[in-house]
Amino acid sequence: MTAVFRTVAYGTPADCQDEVWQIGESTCLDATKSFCKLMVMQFGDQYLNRTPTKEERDRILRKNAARGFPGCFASWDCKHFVWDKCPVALQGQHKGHSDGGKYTKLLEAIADDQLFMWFINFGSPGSLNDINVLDKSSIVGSLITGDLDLKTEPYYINGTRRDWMYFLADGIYPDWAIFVKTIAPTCQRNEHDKQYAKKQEAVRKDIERAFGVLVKKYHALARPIRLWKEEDVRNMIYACVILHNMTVEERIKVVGDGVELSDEDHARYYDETDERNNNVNPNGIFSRLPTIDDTGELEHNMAQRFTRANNLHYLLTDRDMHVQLKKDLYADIIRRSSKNK
Amino acid sequence: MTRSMDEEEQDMDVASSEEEEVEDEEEAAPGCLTCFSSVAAVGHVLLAEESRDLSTLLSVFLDEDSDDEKGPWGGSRPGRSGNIKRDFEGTYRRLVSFYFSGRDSLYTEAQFRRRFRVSSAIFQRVYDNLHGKGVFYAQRVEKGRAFILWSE
Repeated sequence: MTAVFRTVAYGTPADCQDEVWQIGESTCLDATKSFCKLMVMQFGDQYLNRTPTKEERDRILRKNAARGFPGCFASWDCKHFVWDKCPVALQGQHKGHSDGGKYTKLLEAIADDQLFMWFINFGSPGSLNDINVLDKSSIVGSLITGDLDLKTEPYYINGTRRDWMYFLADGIYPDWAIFVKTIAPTCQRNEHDKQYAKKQEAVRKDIERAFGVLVKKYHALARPIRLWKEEDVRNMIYACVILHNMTVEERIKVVGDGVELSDEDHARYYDETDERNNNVNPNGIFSRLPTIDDTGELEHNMAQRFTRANNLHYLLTDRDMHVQLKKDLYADIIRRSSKNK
Repeated sequence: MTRSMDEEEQDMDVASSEEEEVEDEEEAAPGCLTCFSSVAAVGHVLLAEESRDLSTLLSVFLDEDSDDEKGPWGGSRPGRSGNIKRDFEGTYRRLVSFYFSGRDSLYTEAQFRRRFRVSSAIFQRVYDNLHGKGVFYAQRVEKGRAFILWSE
C-alpha cells in the first residue's frame, strides 16, 4: 500500500518501487489498480457524488454569502487529462484541441471554496468541449433525479427571493438558471462591469484551484496517464479525488473554514423581515414544482415524478431566470462595493 | 493410413510451394525436411529406420513443438522470467520502523504527510477499510507454500 501511495502521489513508474519496497513491477501495478477500485467501492458513496448534508450546505452558503454570492453552491468546470496509452481504436475521439492535440479525457467537476469536489464526471473523450460534456453530464442527471438537491432555504438578492442554489461557471456555459457567468472583457462597458467580473472570477477560481491542487498532489495525474484501460484510468481519477476529499474534510475539521458572515449581510440575504427584502419579485424553482404524494398508486406516483423531473429540467435551464439572477447579483455587488468605499 | 498420407501430401505441397515443382512423394520428403532444418536430424533417423511415413515424422515434430510452447497446465515456461526471491519481511520491518512505529518512527508526521499526501490517520482509516478486501491486500497461499504479501 505504501508503494501504491507512492505511485499515485509521485507518479513514479511501477518498476521504481522494486528497489525501495521490494515489490515486483507487475505486483505494484496490480496493487495500484486494485487499490483504486477498492477505494471507489469503499468510499465512493461517502466522498463522491452525494448531496451535502444540511450543515455542510450551510457552511458553504455562509462562506459564499460572505464573499458576495449568497446561494452559490460551487464552481463548475472541466479539465483535460492526457491519456498516454490511449488505444489506437479510441484515438480519433480522444484527440482534442487542448494539450497540443494529445489524446485526452475530460474531468467535469464542481468544487466549493474548501476545494471539496462534490460531484465529478470523468470519461468524456477529449474531442468534446465543455458544452458537449455538459450535455451528456452525469452531474446534470443527478440534478434532475434529485441526487444533488439544489433546494435551499429562501434567500434574497437585491430584494428578489430565491430558493435554489446556483453554480459559478465560465463564459462557454449556456444561460441556465443554475449558472452565473462573468462579463467578458470585450463586453465590459464601465467600471461596474469590471468590478462584477473581477468578483465573479475571483470566486469561480475555486474550481481551478481544486484542479491544480489535485494534480500537484497526485502526480500520477499530472503526467500523461500510463494505464491502458479506460476503467483503470477512471478508477484512478476517482480514487485520487476521494483521497483529496478526505484530506479536505480533515482540514475543515482541524482548521475550520475561517470567514464568518457579518450580521448585517446575514440580515440582508436571509432575513425576511429586513426592509430591503421587500419581496416584490419572488422567483423560485422548487416552489413552482408540483408536490408528490407517495400515498397514491404506483402508476400515478410515477407519472407525478416524471412530471416533476420534466418541470425541474425546464426550470433549471431557464434563460429568463439566469438573466434576472445575474442582474440581481450585479446590483448587489455594486452596492456593496460602493458602500465600502 | 492411405488417407493420412493424402493429407500429408497436401500439407507438403503447401510447405514446399517455394520450391518450384513437386513430382512425387519420394522427392518431396527430403525437400520438406530441408525446409524444417531444425528437425533434419530426427527426420534422417526416422527415414533411415523404416519408411517415408511422414505422418509419424510430422506428428513427432508437431508434438515436440507444442511441448515447447506450453505445458498441459500452463506453469513456468522457458523464456519467461522467474520469481525473484525478494526480502519482503526485511522491507516490511524497515517500513514499520520508518513510519508505523508511533513515536519511535524514524520520520515525523509532517514527513509522512508530505510523502503520502495524506495524514497517517487517513492512511490508517483507508488501510482498515481496504484490508483483506482485494487480492493484493490479503495473505494468500500459493502452490502449497504460505506466500505472504505484506499489505502495508
